[in-house]
Amino acid sequence: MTCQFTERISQLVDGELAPADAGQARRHLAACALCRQAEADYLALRAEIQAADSAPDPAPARTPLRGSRRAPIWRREVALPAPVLALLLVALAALGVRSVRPPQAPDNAAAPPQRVRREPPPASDFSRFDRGARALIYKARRAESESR
Amino acid sequence: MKTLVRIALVLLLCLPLMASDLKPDAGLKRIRFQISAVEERGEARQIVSQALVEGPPGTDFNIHLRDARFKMTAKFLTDLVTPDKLRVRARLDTRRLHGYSERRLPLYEEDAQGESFELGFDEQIVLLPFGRGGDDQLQIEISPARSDESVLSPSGEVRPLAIRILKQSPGGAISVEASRVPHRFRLEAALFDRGREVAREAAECLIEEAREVRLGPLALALTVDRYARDRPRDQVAISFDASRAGETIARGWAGVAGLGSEMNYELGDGLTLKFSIRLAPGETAGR
Repeated sequence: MTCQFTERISQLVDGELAPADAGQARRHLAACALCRQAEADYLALRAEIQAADSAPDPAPARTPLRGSRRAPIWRREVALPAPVLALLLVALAALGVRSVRPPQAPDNAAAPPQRVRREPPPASDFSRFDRGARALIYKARRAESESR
Repeated sequence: MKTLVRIALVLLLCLPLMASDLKPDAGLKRIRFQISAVEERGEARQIVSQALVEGPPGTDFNIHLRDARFKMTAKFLTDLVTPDKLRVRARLDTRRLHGYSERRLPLYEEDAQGESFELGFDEQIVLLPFGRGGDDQLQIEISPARSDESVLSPSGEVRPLAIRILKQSPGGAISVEASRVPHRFRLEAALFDRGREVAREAAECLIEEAREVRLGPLALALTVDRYARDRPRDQVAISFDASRAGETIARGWAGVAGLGSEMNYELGDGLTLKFSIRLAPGETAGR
């Protein structure tokens, strides 16, 4: 069973009703058991939410995890086959040489790079033209209209 | 044998003529519409947005304008009626936020109006979305012109429509869209009384314009409301009113069918109405 006033009771509990409406809702509350139950539920729910909001944050877990037998990453050893290690060293050397050489400017790089700042389009507002009149459409000589 | 050769020659000569009925005239030029939204303040004019719509004769376009409180859709159907004249049918729909109800629901003021113009190429249509009055005025000017480009490309295909935005309105508040669908149709209607044909009539009709047809005892007002591209056949949507001896027996009846296929309606008292809609001679689907 439901009562059409239940939504009003929710607004009454939240203090959202105008004084006249609030008076009407209170009078209804006195006569309707369903709405009284609804009011009690709303109040209980609000109390729970307030209690949850005011509860302190749980303490952060600052204690480090113990018992791990693995060594830290900077103390671990990595075994690599000699050819792989040689290839890695050659690749690193090539990268180093490339980064030392000055980059060649492209042909069209004469102008300094410019920062393009995109402005968001302004919100359209035609209200200054709107005086509540009816839209109008008509035919005109082109020159006549352009000269106006 | 000589006769057969002659017939074959005549047929060969007629082929290009028959083909020219199916395609638009190769020399026909496209039509261009310049659509400019202009803000007028006293003597000063400032173009807010500008777009060009270009396509074959019969190109239609819509202009939309909207802000937080006002919305307008202006629909334009165009036809080249003579080499120097266009027929433009305009329909304006506006919606203005009027306020809020006690229950905080929005209340709108809506308006719809239609106008038809014979427009020369030295004329233009002026649309005032907010009406006239005051120093500040927004007006949309629609100016037609003949394009230098012909309707057909060198390969014989119909060139596609083109829209060029020359200046975009702030926030995209004004937008333009264009389309090309057939405008002229041939309607064939027949009335049957208990299975026996009692009247038959054919008439040409324009899209979105009511056409009155007398069919024996019946007076019909039929409108081709919409044309939709479809496979295997394009579709037409129609609506009609029918009356007999001043008494309405059908009001706002409607239907959708493939181009050329038959639509049947039982009117009661043993009367059956049959329609079929085809493209009018010279009209192209423009695929």
